[in-house]
Amino acid sequence: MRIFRLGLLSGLFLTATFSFFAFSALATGEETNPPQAEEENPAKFENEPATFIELQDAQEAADEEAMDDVEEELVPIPEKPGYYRNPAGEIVDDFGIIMRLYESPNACARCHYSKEQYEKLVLRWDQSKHSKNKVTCIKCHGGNDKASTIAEAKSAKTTDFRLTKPSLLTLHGEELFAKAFDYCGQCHGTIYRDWKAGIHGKRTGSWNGDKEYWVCIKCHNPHNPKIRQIKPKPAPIRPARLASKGN
Amino acid sequence: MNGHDNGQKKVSRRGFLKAAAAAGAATAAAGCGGNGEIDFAEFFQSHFKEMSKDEVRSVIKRLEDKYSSKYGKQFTVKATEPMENVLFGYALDLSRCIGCRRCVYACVRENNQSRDPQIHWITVLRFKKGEKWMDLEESEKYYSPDKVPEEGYFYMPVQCQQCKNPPCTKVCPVQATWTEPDGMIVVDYNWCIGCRYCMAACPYGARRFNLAEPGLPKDEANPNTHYLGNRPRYRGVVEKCTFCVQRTREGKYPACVEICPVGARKFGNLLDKDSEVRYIIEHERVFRLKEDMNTQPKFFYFFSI
Repeated sequence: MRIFRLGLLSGLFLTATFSFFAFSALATGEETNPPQAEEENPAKFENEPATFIELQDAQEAADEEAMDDVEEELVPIPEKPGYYRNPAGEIVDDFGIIMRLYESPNACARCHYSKEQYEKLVLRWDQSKHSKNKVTCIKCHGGNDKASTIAEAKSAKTTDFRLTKPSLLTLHGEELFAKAFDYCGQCHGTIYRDWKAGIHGKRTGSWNGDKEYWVCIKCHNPHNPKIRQIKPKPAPIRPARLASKGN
Repeated sequence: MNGHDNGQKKVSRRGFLKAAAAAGAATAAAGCGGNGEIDFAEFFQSHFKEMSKDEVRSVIKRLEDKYSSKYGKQFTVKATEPMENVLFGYALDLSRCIGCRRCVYACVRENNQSRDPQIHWITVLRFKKGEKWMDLEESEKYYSPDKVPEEGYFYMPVQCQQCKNPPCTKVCPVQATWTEPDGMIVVDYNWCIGCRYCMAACPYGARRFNLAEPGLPKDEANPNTHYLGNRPRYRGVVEKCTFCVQRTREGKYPACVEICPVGARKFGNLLDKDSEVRYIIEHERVFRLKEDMNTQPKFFYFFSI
């Protein structure tokens, strides 16, 4: 039966192709010349953020926009004018900033206080596992968090954190970001080992040549390293709806 | 390459048919002018492995012209040969995969899959954590939550496993699919007759069939193609993942590795003892999908945590 079908198939195919010859020869007039080669890099996919952290940030921004319409219910506190209680029961000020983070005795945030800094750094850190495990600002940034003057705060360059490479504390910006693995690797030793071997983290480029090793902070936000949820791409179409319009 | 050419001049049945058909087609084409000759060359093209280098070159030239005029941009169709001492292997970290399906769509774009009707080479399956999950029938393919990863689930992308002992190539009645020396299983779309035996044989459901004329928009077509890989397909042929043969034979990572936002996908040379994939196989608890089938895939899954 199968052989018969096969024969039938090839027979049909032959007939179809021969009729195709005749018709295509009739139908095709002159062919247009293709335009010059376009320089395209298939490694880069359009509409995709360059790094995972940008992808997550974009997602978060979209979420915040959606959340802006939803007013958080704040209950005023009669004995403390200007302060409110949020649904979680924490005391917040006019900006919605949680006061607990500013009132602790060794908080850098007492001076480094602005809504932007608060939302981008402090609040994010407060929700992370780092906060639960008491990895505070100075563990990575150095400095003296019990200082009362700026000079005093800047004077200390080492911390109680056992930095294997204390020189890292003097680095800033891009220099520091490029060395992120040295920083994070001091505590996350097993992950660091896996990253060096190529199990953890992403590599792009060439499998037998130059590779780009993605450093920690290209995927993990240093102030809240947990991978955030993102929107998935659409599910495949179910076979029942797969019918093509054109054919 | 040219295995059947032993110097003797004998008229084979095939040669006779060719000549006869050539005469017929020439008659048909003569009346109309146009490109009858090109179609004739396509129809009587040899098997890819039996073609001489010159024949391959002329086939490629013909395909490039055809695709370039069809899609309105300059196509290159390569026939890059496999590298020496290379056997491609793949590893996928199921602890890291977040099921975002970015690999699926990067693959579609890179490999010129049909957009309508939709063809995806990669299927991402969702499993409940802590339940019997090796039974693929328990999995969910059409999950679409607002956000991934979801609590209590994990995800497993499945694509061609590039088996060392592939059932699909054995059943092909015309040998239109075979294993290349670098371990990739490829399909010659000009030789495939569309019988779909290979699809029935594949235990992973990795092969896809073009039931209708592939719908590939002109502006989305990827012009960097390989004869055995991502060149635009015909109606009625089977296609599958080739580890992006057009990229990997030039040293690049496959598109799915490049796009994976969490770096769950690992790719490398199994014969190179310093490669990532080898390190993973030696140091992690890897497993292969449906190992009891004795297909011996070169695609390894593992849980890193």
